[in-house]
Amino acid sequence: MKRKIVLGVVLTVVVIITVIALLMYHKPHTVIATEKAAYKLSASELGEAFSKDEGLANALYAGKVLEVTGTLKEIIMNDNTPILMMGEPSGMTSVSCYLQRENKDKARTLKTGTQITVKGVCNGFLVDVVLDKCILLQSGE
Amino acid sequence: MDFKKHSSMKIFFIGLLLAGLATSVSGQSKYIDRQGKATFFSSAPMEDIKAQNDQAVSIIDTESGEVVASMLMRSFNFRKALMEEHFNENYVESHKYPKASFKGKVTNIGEVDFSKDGKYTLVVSGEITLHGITRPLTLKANAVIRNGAIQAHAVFPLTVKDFEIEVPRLVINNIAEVVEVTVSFNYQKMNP
Repeated sequence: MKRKIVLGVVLTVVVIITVIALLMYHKPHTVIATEKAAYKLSASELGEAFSKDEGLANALYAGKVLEVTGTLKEIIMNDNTPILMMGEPSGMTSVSCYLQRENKDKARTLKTGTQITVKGVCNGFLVDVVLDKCILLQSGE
Repeated sequence: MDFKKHSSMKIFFIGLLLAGLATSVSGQSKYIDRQGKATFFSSAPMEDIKAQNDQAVSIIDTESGEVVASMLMRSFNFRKALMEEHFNENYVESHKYPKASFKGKVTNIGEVDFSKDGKYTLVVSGEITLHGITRPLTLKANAVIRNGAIQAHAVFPLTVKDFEIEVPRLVINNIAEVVEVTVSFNYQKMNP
């Protein structure tokens, strides 16, 4: 009788471990909409951080979900991915924001020169700061 | 030769070279793609692994034949989130080495007439830097000149170990030693 109980416990533990391993293996990508942003800042602040000290900015922002507000300078349609270029109207573009495909129609309604807020993952700095998998939080004046 | 004199001469010439790339004779020879594609494919007994980067940047100078390309490691998207995590945190260590880059030259640039539509096989020779390690790389690219744009496509192998990318033994069966890399750029003339 004791042996049966031990066997039962061992089997249960094995099943639990297997389920956890499978869940981890198939774990879903971060859902940007529900993930809390690590930082909220302006496009120019973000751009400046990377141009001043790329190493430090990478340590702070790369791989993290950021909420970024700034002036929409340009909209580029790349295949099905809309790219929003954000930054100070006068200065160089600071942030390239790659929108998730579902936002394609919303992107078409945006007007350059207006303030927008986006949320996405910071991949780092290439030609400008790259924000990926973005969703549009706010648009307007 | 005095050592100090030699190294300051070197810096002076490198500066000249850089200035040369920045402002070519005609100033009309640079083409750029800011949304280039780079994919790598790894076939292994347990599972095929594929990742795609749609945010690669590359510039080609059609006068000198110089080519540079750069991409963020974090821009590689995998279907499985866990795989993407391992890739960034353990294998390529994106926090230490956020980018991969290539710097080289089209060795047969003289054969190409960029003013007309046409198809060419370009030989590109240079160095690739990945995971902080730089190695020589030569590849063949198919190029199509059409309506003033340059479409280039290349497929080449990379040996994972060459770049000191360490894959733990537990996972080794999942990842091939040699991965197949595909790059695809659609270059447009750069505005002066």
